[in-house]
Amino acid sequence: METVLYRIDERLIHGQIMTAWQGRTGAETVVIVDDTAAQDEFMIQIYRLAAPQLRVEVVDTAKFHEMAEDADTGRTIVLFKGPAEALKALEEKITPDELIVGNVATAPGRKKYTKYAYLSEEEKGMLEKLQNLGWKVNMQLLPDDAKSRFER
Amino acid sequence: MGKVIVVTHGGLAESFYETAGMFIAERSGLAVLGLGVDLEEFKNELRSEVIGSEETEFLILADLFGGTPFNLAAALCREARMAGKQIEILTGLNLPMLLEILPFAENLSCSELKEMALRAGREGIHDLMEELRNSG
Repeated sequence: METVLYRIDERLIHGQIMTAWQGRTGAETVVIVDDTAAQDEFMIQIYRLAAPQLRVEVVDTAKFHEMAEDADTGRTIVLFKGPAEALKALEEKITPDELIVGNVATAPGRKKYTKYAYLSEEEKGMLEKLQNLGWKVNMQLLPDDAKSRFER
Repeated sequence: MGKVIVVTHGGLAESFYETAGMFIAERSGLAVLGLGVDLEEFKNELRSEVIGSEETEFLILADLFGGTPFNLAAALCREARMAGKQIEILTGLNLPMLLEILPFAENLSCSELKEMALRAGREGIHDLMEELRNSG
């Protein structure tokens, strides 16, 4: 699997933001790693409706690790709904790279971290853990926006 | 003060502001105005939001075509043009269109924002059962 982007985005595949990243990376596939959604055929169908122009795979962590080894998905964007999903998928078996945190909506326990991301203390700890594993964690909504390094 | 101005009946405008904030904390560039009982107050606020602003371009998103907030926005167009300001107005405001344009509000022109909002507003409406039937 040729991963061109690891990204956290609560809204996963949506509108102009995804279009912008797709344009920038030349991705043809989006792999959503989500243990819960991967068990739900109906949700998978709905994710696919959101991006008819892309190949969309919704997989659990184990399947993602398999795919990372040998799947032929072309240029691929790997998407996570939040830091918990990202940590679970990336903490082992994947060579540290860059993880971009985009839009994370508010939820109980989360507080405003940047203009576009709300994070809980626990989630900040998860991102820090990834940093300690060698991941470059950067906050960035759109490809042309300036990146800012995540800091606990 | 904002480049994108949401105008609605009642508390809807304020609710759009709050609800958009659940997704995107940064809403500078977005102003909202809800029409309550005081028509004159609404009119004055809208006027100062446009004529009194340093911005020269505005995208006004109205809840309802033909409704009072829309009518007042439309009535402001000529005066705004005389003051050297450009206004675009869309009706049928929905959350998809607002969320789509918010991250771009500062960097795009109002006609670019309008095109983006129009598309997102339309594409944001899905007939789920129909699409599932068609997707096989």
